[in-house]
Amino acid sequence: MTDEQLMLAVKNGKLDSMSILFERYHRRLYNFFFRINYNQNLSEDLSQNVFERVIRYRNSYNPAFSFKTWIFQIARNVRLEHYKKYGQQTMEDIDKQKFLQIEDDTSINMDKKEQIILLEKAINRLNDEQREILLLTRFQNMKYAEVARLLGCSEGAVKVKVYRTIKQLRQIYLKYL
Amino acid sequence: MISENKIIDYLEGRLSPEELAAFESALKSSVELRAQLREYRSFFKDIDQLPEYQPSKKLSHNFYEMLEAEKANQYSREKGPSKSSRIIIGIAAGFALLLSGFWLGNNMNNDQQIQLSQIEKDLQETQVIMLQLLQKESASQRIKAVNYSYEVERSDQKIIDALIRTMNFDPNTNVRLHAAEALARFGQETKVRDAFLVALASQDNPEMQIKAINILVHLNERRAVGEMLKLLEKEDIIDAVKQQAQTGLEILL
Repeated sequence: MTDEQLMLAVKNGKLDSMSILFERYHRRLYNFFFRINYNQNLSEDLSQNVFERVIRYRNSYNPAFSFKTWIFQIARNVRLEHYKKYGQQTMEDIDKQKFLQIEDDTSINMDKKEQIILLEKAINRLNDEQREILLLTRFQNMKYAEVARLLGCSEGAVKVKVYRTIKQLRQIYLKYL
Repeated sequence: MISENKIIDYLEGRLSPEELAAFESALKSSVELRAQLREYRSFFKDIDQLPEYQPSKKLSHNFYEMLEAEKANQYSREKGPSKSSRIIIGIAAGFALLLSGFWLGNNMNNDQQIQLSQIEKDLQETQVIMLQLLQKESASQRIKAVNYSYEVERSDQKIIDALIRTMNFDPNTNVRLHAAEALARFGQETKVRDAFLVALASQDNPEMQIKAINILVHLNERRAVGEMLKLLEKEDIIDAVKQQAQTGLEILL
């Protein structure tokens, strides 16, 4: 069943369908938030918040639109509201973060860990808009048209943003290496 | 002068056929562009290899708790099923979670036990990423997968098989063209040459036909002569393809 059919079922009262959507999306949402704040607890809370809203606002879901775009629209709102309330994390906070999962993972060698951390830091140095573009296009594999709808701009504008983001990220990363 | 934007589009599989042809010909003549492309490819590989972070079990636990509460709410509004059936669903969900946790734990242990040399590890990594990306719905992701094969220096059967499958059966022409190009590097293998012969006989897209002719001629594969002669006879083959076949035949014969 497609995401849209499942969400429609949820809307029609079959709440169990929500568990399939949760299994499909919770890791994606968690990673979306984690790469913004690098904080496990916070990212889990924000992801949970998204699913609460999906359930709470299930009646407003319009099956003519992609579920993925809708849920990421909610995720963006959750994120904006959180940062309005608590402010943005600074680079120092992130430096202090231990990248726990990477450091504990014995299957990754030291050089690779180092490289992963440098790239994650480089991603974090992008401005908000660029980081979001990268997360949506590269990590969530969303089509430019979907991102355009989400951000309320043209597909051409998304393309230009992607170019700028990739070039900028590469420059920062090369400086770190 | 080719801009960096075009390199990005190329790696993402977003060039039109005309742009792709122009890019590839520029690639042949410019050492600098080839170097830039290599750098970008390795940069993209670094990005794609970033790990997917795993949330703790708390997230699933909280979600299922919330879902159960919402269901209970709904049932009480609609006088739904008895409380005992809700408990059974709850137990089933808990059991499923426990099983998935056990499965994950087991797999991680196995992974840790495998001690491979670095080269084999890299190769395996490339295989895994490539095969995963090939399953993606978006053509640009599948092209990215094909591009990963360039990371592998020696010929690897899993990667070659994946490229052959992609060249023959991917629904998107651009992806098939990229796969053919990537396969050409392994032209010394009989299996690969056979695959190009099959492609020449079975592909009905003119760009793919031209690509297969060029590669077979380049590999000096004389077994292609018969199929190319057949192409010249067929009515539904466009002139550009026939011309290419004609030129190819002159070289091979």
